[in-house]
Amino acid sequence: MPYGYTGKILHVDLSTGNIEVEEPGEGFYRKYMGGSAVGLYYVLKLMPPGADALGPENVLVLSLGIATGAAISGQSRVTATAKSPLTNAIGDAQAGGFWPAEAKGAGYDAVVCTGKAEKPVYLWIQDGQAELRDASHLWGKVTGEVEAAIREELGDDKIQVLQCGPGGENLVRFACIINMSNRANGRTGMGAVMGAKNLKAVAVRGHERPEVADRKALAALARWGAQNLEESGVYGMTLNGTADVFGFQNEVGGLPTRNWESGSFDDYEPLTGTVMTDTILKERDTCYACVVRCKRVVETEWQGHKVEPLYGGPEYETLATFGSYCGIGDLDGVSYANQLCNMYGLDTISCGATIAFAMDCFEQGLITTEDTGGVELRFGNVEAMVRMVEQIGRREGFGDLLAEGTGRLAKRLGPEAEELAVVVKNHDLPAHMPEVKRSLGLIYAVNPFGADHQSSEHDPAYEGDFEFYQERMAQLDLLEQQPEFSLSPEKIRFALYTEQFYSLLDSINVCQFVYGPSWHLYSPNQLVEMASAVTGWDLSLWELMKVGERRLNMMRAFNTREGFGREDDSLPPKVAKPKVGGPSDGMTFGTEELEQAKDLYYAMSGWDPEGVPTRAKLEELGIDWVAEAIGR
Amino acid sequence: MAQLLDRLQISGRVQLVSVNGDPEPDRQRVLEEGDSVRIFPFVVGG
Repeated sequence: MPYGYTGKILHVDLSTGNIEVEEPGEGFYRKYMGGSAVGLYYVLKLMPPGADALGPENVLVLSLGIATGAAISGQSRVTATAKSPLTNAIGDAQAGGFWPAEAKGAGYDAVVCTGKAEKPVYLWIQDGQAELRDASHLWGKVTGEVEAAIREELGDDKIQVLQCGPGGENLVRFACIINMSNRANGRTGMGAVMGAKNLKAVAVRGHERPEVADRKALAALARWGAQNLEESGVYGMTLNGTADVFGFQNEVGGLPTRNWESGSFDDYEPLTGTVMTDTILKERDTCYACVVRCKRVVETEWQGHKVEPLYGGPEYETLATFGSYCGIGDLDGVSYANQLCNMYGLDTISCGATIAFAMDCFEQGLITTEDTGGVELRFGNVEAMVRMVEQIGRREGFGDLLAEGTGRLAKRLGPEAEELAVVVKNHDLPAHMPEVKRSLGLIYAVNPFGADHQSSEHDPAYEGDFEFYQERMAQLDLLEQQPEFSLSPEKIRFALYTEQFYSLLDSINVCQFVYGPSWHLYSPNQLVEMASAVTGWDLSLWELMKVGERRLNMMRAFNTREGFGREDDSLPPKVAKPKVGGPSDGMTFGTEELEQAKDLYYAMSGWDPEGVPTRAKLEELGIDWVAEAIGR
Repeated sequence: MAQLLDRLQISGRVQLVSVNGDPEPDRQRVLEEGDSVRIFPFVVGG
């Protein structure tokens, strides 16, 4: 068994209560590494084609990485993989915190959950021992209450708890999984999958983490990271969190505003990272052993409601979706909405975006106060926004419809509403605009789990005069910086290579702020050093990039099996409409440009013109069993 | 502008500079007394 791993996968059949341990062997780990690729392996093998995402046949995998729990920044990550109830495509979401490191110490590299429990249960794993326990008394409680109750019940306040909130119990299609009451496997509705399985939580405690092959080399890298943090681009996140980017986004006209009508928000200033730091920031929190400390903890009040430190603080995406998307510049109100999402277990991106879509429909007269229960759901109405978050979490009133997500609600409301829905594969677009980041637009369209901003490097890193990053880009054979707003063949190559690299990060399962090809703390070559030091394998970047490519092809194959094709790789109509006002005034991203880019991207990927991986490509990646699984 | 960025030792990491609220791509621009300069690094929010 290589260093870094426990060598054990825990299989939990929730229908029967049967728990088994698998020991897959070194070849398995070297091929799939961990995280998302390991999750996909089990979902593809164990989930029957066409399974109901909210049914017992769906398979939910919680997987760690090669370095989880080791003494270096950016390693404490957990990936959740299952069929998504929001998109019906593959679901995939990552989170940090202290749960992943504790889970590695508890003895397993991944937990594979099948079936559905007859009544609510939680899984308790301690030092290699696993048991299912009754969770009936926890059902309906918010995350902070559940975390405290489990710690008290088991008599150990160092237990880490990963859970679905009431949102997941209520099958909100964009419910997320929460650990520490403030870290989220946010996207694609993985919390609803937990809720549908009656799996309330996974509590972990462990005292023995796997050995690292070369402690000295790992310590040297950790030291380098601490010494170079302040010189790194990620240091802005140390100072101001992910909200550090808010002002920049507005300045370039790339801040989605009023459900993507504009890329510029007049009332943006109160939502910037510096204002948060100067006003409501209580402390800078971190994930296990990470020097970056990008997590925010805020304390404030909104209209008599306390915003408590337990529930963390809003990220950039949250500030945008509850803020500029909804035309709201109220930092306290947005922070309270963020807290509600962490209490109920809701993805802040889809939650805010769905409310913004509903506001747009209200402004256009497609819904009225008769639909909303008397709520004036207009842009800028912070009280209405907060009320909708509460209703979504409880599936009450109009929130019951919003809980189905933007795409389903749009379909119900008709063609005019569908024109206003800003989704890809029913997955709401995050707060980066294809109009000003064109290769990102391509990735939004083709990404197997829907539009995502953490699945490739963003265009500005390969545009303009970036001498500081050019050495790192060169490690990925990206040598020719491109003009602003271009989507040249070289830009598509940039999108594909960095997509494969980010896919690798989600398979090794490390943080995409800490490891990356430009502003991040560590470079791609340092990632190889880290992975080699942990495992003892003599790894190369070429070998690791193949892991990333393998994961992308497995995702694509899953979607093929579920009936997805080229036509699903699209961008929403709003992106093709000229933006109004600000630096991106008049900018668009049209269908013709996207279709041409897809042709080249598919060909570069070794896929057929419909975007399906060829048998040759799957064999080249050493996963011919996937070709069999999709009948190729 | 270029001299300012050099003096701050951040010229290679600057994504955007705006002067008095307007984006300014020309690094040779001569700054005047009272100009307000905002400098943005390139990072991506999560």
